[in-house]
Amino acid sequence: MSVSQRYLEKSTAITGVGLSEVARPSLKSPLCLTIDACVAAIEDAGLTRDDIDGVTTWPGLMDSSPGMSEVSIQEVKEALRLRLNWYMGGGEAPQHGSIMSAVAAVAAGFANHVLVFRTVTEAQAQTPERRASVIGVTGSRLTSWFSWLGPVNAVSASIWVAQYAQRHFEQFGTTSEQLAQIALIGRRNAQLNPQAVMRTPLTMEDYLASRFIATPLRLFDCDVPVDGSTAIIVSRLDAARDLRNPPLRVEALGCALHGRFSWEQVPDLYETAAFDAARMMWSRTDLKPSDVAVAQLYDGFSFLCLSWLEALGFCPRGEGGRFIEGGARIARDGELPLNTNGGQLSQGRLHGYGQIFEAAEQLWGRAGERQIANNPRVAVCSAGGGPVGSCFLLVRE
Amino acid sequence: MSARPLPRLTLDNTAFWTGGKGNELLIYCCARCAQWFHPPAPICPDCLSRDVGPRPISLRATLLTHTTNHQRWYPALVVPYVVAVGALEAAPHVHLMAELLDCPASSIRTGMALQITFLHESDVWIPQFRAAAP
Repeated sequence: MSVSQRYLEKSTAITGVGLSEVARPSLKSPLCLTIDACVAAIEDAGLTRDDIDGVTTWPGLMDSSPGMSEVSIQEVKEALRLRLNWYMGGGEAPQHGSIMSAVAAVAAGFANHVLVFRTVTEAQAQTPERRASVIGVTGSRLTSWFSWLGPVNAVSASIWVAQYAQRHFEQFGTTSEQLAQIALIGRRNAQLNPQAVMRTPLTMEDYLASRFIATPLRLFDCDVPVDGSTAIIVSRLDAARDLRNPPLRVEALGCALHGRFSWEQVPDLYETAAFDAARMMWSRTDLKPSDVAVAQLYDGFSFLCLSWLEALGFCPRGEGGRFIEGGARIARDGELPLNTNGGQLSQGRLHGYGQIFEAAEQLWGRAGERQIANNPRVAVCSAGGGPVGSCFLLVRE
Repeated sequence: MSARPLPRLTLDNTAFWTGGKGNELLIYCCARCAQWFHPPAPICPDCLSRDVGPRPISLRATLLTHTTNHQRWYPALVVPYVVAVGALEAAPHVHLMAELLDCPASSIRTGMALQITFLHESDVWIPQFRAAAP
């Protein structure tokens, strides 16, 4: 059996993407932002709503964290009066859960063109008393893995990630000046992105002078809550060839979790789900890290991005800090351009989906002033941290 | 959110969250292979025996990593405070995340010995770390 018959994600492709305004806050409703993105993505693909026969989202409607996910598939289906053969949304998956299930649905023949959306409205949902992405914020008792974190006041992912970063600093000699490069590169790229919310110049001095959130993580190591929606069309590759854009084939996808479903129980407090997902992804392709022209790696926190660089094999274990030192290697004209839209640290927290949008923009050569040179053909996208991780490779046909 | 978030008690986790009432850290252990494991579950993750249940374990641990949190995530939170991950001395593969109290940041060292005490809130007893007496 050939590789393309065996790994059926290769029979699927991204054919269109859409992004709403990104603002903090936006005056538009969560549903309005979603529809803006969905209509743009359908049009971008050269399709009409009549072609869309599947819809998916991640994590689906949830009210346990303000602004985390306030739009349901039901509302989108009704607003656009879609005729669906397949739909699915739910949170028990890595952050790319929607892409994963869209790919699976298309490969299984349940749908030809799946509309994927992810809407975050954490800026408009925040109040001084009610912050986004803090567990237990609604006052109800905690269940599942959050129940081991909230009661000890580890109520924010900042704390979980900071503990991993602290260990990395101690074990491998990683420094604040090295970690800063993720934030500094992001900000430099964001200055060329009209849809980024943080565009003022950021220097090393600014970074080092910024306040600690959870040591060793500072303000600029943490992403920015925004309002915005991303939509992506996942299509059957053989139904994608005549559309508006050259299809971006899903070359390989990784979503494995072989280790513990926990932050604190991971034996070495190092090897997170990112490593399992990356190994799975590379096992499904002949491509190598050196084939990647542009990397859009999850930077909900700067340290997670550094961890993805190691997990994906762009540098050896523990070498992430030295790999990004000085920033030249990950700049737009470096050997591995990283988060060319500014990432979540500077564009805003679109929760892994801003990275997918930007990968498509770069592979289709329409990233404007921030377009990288040499006609990039292969991109890698990743999302998640701790026990949640997924990644995939896109190849322009 | 006005106060510390608390766990929903279940048949599986009640021993862990209430053992502190008797100053005991109750961790699940397998009666067949003597393996300690956490979080609690109705089956041994090693030998799959169903003969498992909570048992008191030593209140000592070793610090693996920590962070000093400076952000006031909810109004009643008093900052800064330290959250650490410790390996239980009697079962180092079992980790516990807890606040580290009364320990100035400059004296925190990976590998330091920790003592577990408990904070009583509502119907639960939350483990907390302190530096162990040498």
